Amino acid sequence: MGTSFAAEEEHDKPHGYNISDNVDILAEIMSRLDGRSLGVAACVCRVWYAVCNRDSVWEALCDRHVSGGDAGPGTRSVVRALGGYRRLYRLCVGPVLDRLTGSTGPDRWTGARADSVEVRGNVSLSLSLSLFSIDCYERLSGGSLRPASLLFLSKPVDVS
Amino acid sequence: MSTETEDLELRAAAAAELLIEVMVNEGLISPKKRCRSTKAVILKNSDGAVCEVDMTVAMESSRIKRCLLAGKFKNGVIAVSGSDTEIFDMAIGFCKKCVGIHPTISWEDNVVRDVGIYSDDLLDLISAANYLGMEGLKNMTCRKVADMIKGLTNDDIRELFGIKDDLTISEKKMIAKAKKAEKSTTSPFAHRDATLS
Repeated sequence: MGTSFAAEEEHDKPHGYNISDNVDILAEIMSRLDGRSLGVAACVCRVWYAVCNRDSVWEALCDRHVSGGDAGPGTRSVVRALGGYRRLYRLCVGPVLDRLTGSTGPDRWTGARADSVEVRGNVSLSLSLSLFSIDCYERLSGGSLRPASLLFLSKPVDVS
Repeated sequence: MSTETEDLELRAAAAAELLIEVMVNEGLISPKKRCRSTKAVILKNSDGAVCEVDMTVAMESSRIKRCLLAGKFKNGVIAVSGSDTEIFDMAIGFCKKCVGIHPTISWEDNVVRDVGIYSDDLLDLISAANYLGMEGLKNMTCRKVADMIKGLTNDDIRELFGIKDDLTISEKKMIAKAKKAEKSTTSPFAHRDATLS
């Protein structure tokens, strides 16, 4: 391709402009990452930390894995009222997906290179919202006790 | 697929009818190249380079479409600022491939792979796609960068993108603490850990 010479010249000089300069584009890229990578990306620098905390990024992630029902403005307002998409992913969607794909809990945040295939599970919208509302209710009425009803999602409880 | 092509042509024809009195391109089109559509539009980017594209191709870009329908151009030339010639050509080339054809994974191999590893070119292509409003191209390029990021550690990411680590030690401690707190609430032994720490 005729672009090879120009590409070489550009590689000689430092980056023309940084990926962090345009936060909207950064948000677009981040909204295509998975939960683990988002956690790692948040520790790169201040700008990345700010973008990773945007709820819209986690919303895009949840929308990819939540099926059934219209993920429209109605859903968005409900999720935001219950605590936001980031919390929804962390407490409900993430653990359920991990269970579906068989990944274990402890390496969620280590950022180790994921050899496994991209998570392709799907959680139903009604299930995730029901679980999320349990968490919200617990937080509102719990007092000093930490919310614990959703712990079973991460580790199966032996009821024998 | 034929109905999609027909839809595109109908849309292009409708736009052309609205603006027909100021379209001056037909005389410039060489008959050999343009066999299907005779309506074309000239796009001029910030470097001053001029590119002529079919109406249906130009309509792939939502920004150009808005300009066309709003009548915002002079002498049939639409100014598209914000991208240099190479990237602009790449973006238009992508549109040409997409018109009438459903984008599949193979286009990612053909078009986006041309850019290769992460480089300024890829970033420029994302900006161009973002500016011109080409959803398909934006999706593929962003996904490509996201795939590069997946599985890397913090240091690898910083090295890849040339980012300076500007988090202070206290900020890093805060993030690590928040992560640890989040991790512990999802473990069945949260209450025990809480009393120990």
